Amino acid sequence: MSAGSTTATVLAADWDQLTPELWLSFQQTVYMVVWTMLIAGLLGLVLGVALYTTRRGGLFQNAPSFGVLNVLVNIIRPIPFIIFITAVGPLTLLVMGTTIGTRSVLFPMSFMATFVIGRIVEQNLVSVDPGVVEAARAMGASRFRIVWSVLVPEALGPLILGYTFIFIAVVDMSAMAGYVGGGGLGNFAITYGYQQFDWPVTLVTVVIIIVIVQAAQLLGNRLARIALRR
Amino acid sequence: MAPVISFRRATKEFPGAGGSSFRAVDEVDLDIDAGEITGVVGYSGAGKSTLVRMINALELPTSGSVTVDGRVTGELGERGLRNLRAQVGMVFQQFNLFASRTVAGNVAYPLRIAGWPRDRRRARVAELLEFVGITEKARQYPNQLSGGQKQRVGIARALATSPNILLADEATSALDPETTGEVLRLLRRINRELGTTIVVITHEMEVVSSICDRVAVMERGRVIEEGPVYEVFADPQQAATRRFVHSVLSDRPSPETVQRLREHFPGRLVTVWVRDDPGARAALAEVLSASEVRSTIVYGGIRELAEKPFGTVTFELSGDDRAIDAMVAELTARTHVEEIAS
Repeated sequence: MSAGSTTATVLAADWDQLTPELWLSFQQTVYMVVWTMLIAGLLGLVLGVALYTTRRGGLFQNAPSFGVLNVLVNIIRPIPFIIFITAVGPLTLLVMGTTIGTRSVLFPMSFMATFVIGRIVEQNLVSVDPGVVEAARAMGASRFRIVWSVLVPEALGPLILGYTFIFIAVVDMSAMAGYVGGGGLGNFAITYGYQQFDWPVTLVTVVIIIVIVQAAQLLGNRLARIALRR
Repeated sequence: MAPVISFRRATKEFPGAGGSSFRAVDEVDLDIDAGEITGVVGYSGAGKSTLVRMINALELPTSGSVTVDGRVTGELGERGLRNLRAQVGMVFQQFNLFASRTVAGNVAYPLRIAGWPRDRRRARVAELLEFVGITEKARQYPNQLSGGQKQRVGIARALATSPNILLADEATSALDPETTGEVLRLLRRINRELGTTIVVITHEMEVVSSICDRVAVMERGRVIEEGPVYEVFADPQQAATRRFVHSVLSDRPSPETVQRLREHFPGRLVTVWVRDDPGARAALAEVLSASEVRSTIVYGGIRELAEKPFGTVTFELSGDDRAIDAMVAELTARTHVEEIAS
């Protein structure tokens, strides 16, 4: 590999082997990101609504509940994800039966993403005009009804943008999950690019990730615009 | 007629900083009869909003009681509260429309809560939009409407379930004068045609004078004066009511105005109250035309309040001091008179 003239042939040979590997990694990334977005998207929505409604003046005002949730979010969110994966290892083992593999990293990923999404959902709900909530209460709407028929629809545009932002963070997380055997594009770039000193492989992976992120951002922006066109 | 809304020593305290508490509403006794339009007036922070929100149980009294339609709000469970609220409509200063729903969607919302089937809902929404005159806007979103149109939607939404009580919290304060007039006429029509009892919070005299039957004046959480609009404003018993009446009507010259008047009218300045008493008004004219004293109109005006004359006129009186004294005494015998500069 030292001679410049042989590099091209080595690379060409590499891609023959690497392409199926890359395709598999791509599928693994999609698997991790989609499942995390589904699980954490739902749980994070619940957490965000809980944070927003239990705070002072909220529909379900409850200082102890808000305090606990708030502290929990503040503790978990800043932990670097790569450390978080290993820290919750025992819990992952308990829940998923293993700590290795693409499926098992869904646990730490969904766990962390739930807390990140929770905070983002809460912040977007704060932007909803409290007068609108009062109007719904004055009409006799139940508190749960207000959550799903007023709060969420009124904040839908910003929520979509928030979820788009999270999607990108989850792609980032999935790359780190590769470190503990999660597979995926991150793992691919490290194993075949970084560790093999094969910069083009890393570059190709990065381009694929950029394309995924751009597509997500484009879709998110478009959906948000539709939601905001009122 | 039994009152449809009764406050009995109703008090609302909010927890304040450092364990203290703030009394937004302080031992209020107030009865509101069915079919009347009552104005709640007072300076901001007087407790008007909290008082009105105790009617639809958005606020519950911390002591005393509020009875609405025979139901004591403090004794209702969550379901009872929701039923009560569904029967009391409310419109807001900032309209509080759902930005994510169309005009029709906004008006349909309370009907959805009440569990109306889709086709009945649609018919009722059409009827309501027709009533408030915005049928052609049904498919638009609130941010495409003007302030007056938004408030019409707010009113249609508040009327959807045919409530017998309608609360209006500064419903016209965000509107220009012309639109205010339209919305007030609409509220009047609702009261006349549907027999709805209406409680309006306002700081605008126009609202009180053009639609209210009765008025309650609030200061620091208390209702300090209550009664028919004309009686309360024409003859206020409380200093705070007088202050309010003067500030919103600007019916007598301010100290600055008096100073300016003084430059041109060095004589004695006397403000004479004009009220609903044709005999007294005729007598006033007679007294003022007495020959020894020269009287010049320098300030004031007479308008209608609850369809009756209401106002003050300030005169400069010059001539023999004793003759002026006699004239002021004669005026005082017939109406309220105040010498503002001598």
